[in-house]
Amino acid sequence: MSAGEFVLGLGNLPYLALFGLLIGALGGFFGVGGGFLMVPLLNAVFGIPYNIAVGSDLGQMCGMSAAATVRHMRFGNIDFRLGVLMIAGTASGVEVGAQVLEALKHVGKMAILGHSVDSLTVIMSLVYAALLIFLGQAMVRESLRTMRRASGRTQLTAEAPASPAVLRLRTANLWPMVSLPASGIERVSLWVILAIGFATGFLSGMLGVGGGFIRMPALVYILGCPTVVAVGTDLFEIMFSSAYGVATHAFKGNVHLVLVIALLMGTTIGAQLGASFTRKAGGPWVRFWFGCLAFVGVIMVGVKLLTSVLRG
Amino acid sequence: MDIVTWLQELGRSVGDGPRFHARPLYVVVCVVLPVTWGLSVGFLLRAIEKIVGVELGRGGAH
Repeated sequence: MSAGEFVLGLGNLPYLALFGLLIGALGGFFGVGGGFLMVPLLNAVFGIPYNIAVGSDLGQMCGMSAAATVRHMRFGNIDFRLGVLMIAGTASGVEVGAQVLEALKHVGKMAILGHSVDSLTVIMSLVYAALLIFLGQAMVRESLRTMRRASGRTQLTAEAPASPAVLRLRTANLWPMVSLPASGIERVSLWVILAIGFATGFLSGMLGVGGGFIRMPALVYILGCPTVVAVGTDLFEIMFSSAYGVATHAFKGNVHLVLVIALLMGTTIGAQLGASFTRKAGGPWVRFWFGCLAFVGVIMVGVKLLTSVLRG
Repeated sequence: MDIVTWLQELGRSVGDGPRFHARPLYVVVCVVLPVTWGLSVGFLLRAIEKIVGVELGRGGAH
């Protein structure tokens, strides 16, 4: 299907809500947003063009992160100063990412194996496959390492210390310097905060993901935030980046409001169901299976791409 | 007119490609709808936790 021609049948709404419930339950169960599964599967399963899947998923993510932020505020886990400072970098990144997606939308068709295929579908499928492989292998490796440690086959070690390159970023003396008392950070360059925001914002604007898988480790290892503050601040940031993202994608005609509502209904219920089940399951095994699920996503994206190529 | 029909009507030119022209109300609703939904759900869950005295799972996105 071309990026420029899309009609969502209302008959699909119950299935989309059910799909949202499933992804929401997986996200709640595994403790992630699930945006990196939502967008490629909306394309692979429902044939929704990537640009509309990204814009509408950002709407869904905006609602879910707003709900989660409200709940985290109660625990005082949000460094508002850090969050507000990061917004400028995040918003710029979202805009650049959305412009890249917009440019891809207008590239038109490309020829593969003698068949004419929509360029946006090909490029986004490949980018998503790479992202899912990266995240899947990281989760599987980390969970296997944790299980080996737990079984005593590997000696328990302290948390890996920050590498010299990371420490150089943390101590970079680039004016203006700011202090973040809520995170216990005395001095850090504003440019480092903006760069983290820009990188995650770019992924959010182009791929419709929250970017927590980059922002969280960056806040903890590069800035030195406590993990609980990083979690709350990450959610606060996702709320703003997805709100900005949904606005800029709305101007480009990439947000389908009925799709947003269907996904919100499903993910709101699914996230609660998933989170209640997660208490009954072991941590490393949960992450192991989620990593495997990312590889299933890769296969589905690959099959969909192959089908698009063969259909021409 | 029900809400789904209204939302569909509001964004009727979504997916029209280069012919798309964003109406101001459509852009406003795109942002306000999910934010309002999220804030309502968040405060509702907080109220349920307070009234019932249980801590519900935090749900997706941590």
